[in-house]
Amino acid sequence: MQSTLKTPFSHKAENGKLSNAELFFLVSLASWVMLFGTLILSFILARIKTPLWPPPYIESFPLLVPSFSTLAIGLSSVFVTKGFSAYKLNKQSDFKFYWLLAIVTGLLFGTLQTIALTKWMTFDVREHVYSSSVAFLILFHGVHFILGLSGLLFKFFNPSNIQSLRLWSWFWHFLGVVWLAIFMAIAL
Amino acid sequence: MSTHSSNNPQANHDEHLHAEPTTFISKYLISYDHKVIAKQFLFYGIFWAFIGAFLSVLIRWCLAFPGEPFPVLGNLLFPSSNGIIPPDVYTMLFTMHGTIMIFFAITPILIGAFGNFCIPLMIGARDMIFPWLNMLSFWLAMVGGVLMMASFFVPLGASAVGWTSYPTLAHSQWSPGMGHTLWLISLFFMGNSSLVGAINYITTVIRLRAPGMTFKRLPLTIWGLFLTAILNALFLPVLTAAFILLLLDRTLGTSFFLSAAISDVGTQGDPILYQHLFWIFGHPEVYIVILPAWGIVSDLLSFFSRKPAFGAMKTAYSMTAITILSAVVYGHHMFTTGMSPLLTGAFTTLTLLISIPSGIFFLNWLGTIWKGKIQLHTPMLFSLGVIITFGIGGLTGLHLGAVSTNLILHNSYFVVGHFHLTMAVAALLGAFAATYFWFPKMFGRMMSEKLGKIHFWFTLVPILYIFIGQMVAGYAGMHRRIYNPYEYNYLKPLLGLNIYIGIAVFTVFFAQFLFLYNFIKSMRCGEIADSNPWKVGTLEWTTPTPIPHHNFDTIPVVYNGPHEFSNPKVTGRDWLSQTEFVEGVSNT
Repeated sequence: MQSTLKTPFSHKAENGKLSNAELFFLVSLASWVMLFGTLILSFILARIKTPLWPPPYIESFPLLVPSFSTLAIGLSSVFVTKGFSAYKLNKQSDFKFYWLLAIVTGLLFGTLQTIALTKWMTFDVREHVYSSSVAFLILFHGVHFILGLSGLLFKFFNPSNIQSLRLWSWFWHFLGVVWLAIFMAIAL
Repeated sequence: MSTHSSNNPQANHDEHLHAEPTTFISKYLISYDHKVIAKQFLFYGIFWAFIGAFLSVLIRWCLAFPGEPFPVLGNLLFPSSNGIIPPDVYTMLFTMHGTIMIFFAITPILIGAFGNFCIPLMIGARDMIFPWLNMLSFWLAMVGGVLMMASFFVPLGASAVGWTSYPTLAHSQWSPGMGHTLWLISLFFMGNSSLVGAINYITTVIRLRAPGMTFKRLPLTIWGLFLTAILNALFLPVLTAAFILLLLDRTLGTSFFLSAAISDVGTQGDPILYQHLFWIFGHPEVYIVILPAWGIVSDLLSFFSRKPAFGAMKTAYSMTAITILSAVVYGHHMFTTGMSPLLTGAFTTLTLLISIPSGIFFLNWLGTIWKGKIQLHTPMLFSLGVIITFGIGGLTGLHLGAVSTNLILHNSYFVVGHFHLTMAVAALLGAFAATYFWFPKMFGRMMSEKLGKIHFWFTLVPILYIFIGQMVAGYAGMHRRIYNPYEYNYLKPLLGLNIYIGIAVFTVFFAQFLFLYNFIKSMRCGEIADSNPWKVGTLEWTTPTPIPHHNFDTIPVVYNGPHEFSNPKVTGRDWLSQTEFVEGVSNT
């Protein structure tokens, strides 16, 4: 039960056990899942209950650009995984390379999202719950995305602590999964 | 998880050996110490509890003496109406009473104060695992408290839409002004405060238990607090999501919760969606409030009956079962929203299923005191009070859980009486029991038993009268949230009952000053408590009083369960500390 960890933010979790910080992160992840799950489920419920979705007088959200941004955030997740395993093998240059790629693809995701949203939001999105909820979901994910991207950037310059590197990469994967769920809820 | 796998059980704990703070600010204000944060939460909760209680006095004054000016303070509070409580203020009163009592009084006292105080001490840790988050939790609650207090003073007054904050009433067209917006923002902070605390509690209980402190040896108090923390971590985000959407509706003019029929701004939102989101959180919330009290009472009944808790693990498992079930029964709050009969049937069944685990631990409580050597100290009296109020409240819950009777009783005073007895009064009496019980450890002095017993009787008897009376009134057809029910002919005969309920409320309110006096006076000049005044064996009583900054000089090793009382193999006394090894009783 009592692990032999040296500090609450131990650099390595021994015996394959989760470190305290990882356990903390997983518990908070449960809260985050409930938060985004609630919002996405509300969206799906509104969608099911509304007869015309999207309503004919509202321009529907274009799906081409977001498809590419989905691809970008997925790629970014792959690069983060690659970078992290390079870090574990102590290959610093490989880590920097993949981590930079992850940040660039992350930025690409952000740019594509902004383009899609601004090109579409030429009307008052409050006109219908369809448009306001699509805009809200994208923006709300965007706020967390900015947090995650700053984390990646921070770890690019200060990668000394593998523990927090792992947590930030987990958070990044989580953001990818959340975006995928949002995208499917909007598109399918 | 094996208990003794680690070579060095101290390692995880010694990281929590911080230097003892010396300045006033670092010691009492921005403290990382769980014991200080517990006291901060306790004072915070007691302060708000008195405000919430005063609001209930105003509410009952309206119902007992409609149209008469409130004595003494009336002209000061309501100068424009010559001391008479106006109808719009009445709606504000019951809204703020509910909000304050749930989020600002009971939650901080039971979870904030006793969660913080008991968890590290009872599991044998030096502090919470993330002391900084613990401090953050308190200061988020402080921000929430300041905002809620501020909302009383904005134009048009504080929120007046009911503590459930249902749209469409909660939208800015129907409840204009800053009051409700501040209410939402304040509860956003309170929610995050509880959330941060909950994540901290969960990680602490999983990681920092002393060697030998298996889940089976965990005091039931910690079981209750642990399950509460799980519910908090999972369901507060749902409330947060609902509040964010409602806040957008109010401030930016979206229409997530406005349907086409009544909105000229947006269309096709759904007010019922809010009710779903609110009650997905709201039903677990009643267990968030009551689970710590259940845990505390389960322990205290055993401590003061000098008997092992009857079926302690069954109590723990049934509390766990209730925790799981609480997530899937929320629909019984919404039977009248036009829910399909299939769903109402399902929710009725699930709701009534809760009575099985509730029945198990309730009978375990009775089994614990059965033939015990009962010591009627004040904490025990309050624990017995919880048995009575929760028993009555729980049984009347069956009428509300079943759809057929719920449809009749919905929104009546029967509901008010029921939920107060179940989760409000039971939790409050549990909090009183905890305060009287842990006061010697917290402040190093005993509270006056004599005043405590007077406080108990002047609390329990009127409280039973109030809420059983309210259930009678509800059965007679009296609705909740009506300013003057006597405008309806069929409710006129209830005036007498309401006057007596009012008098009972005033009695309870003034009895609480007895508690406050006792609390403050005992802190300064109570009888000095020795380190284990109640002669019980849980870990917090093995520490000296006052507790040193690092709690335990060496992390204790646990050999026994928390309720080793009257064991025939132990001679000379009737209790056994969790850290004592006795051949034939303890095992490693």
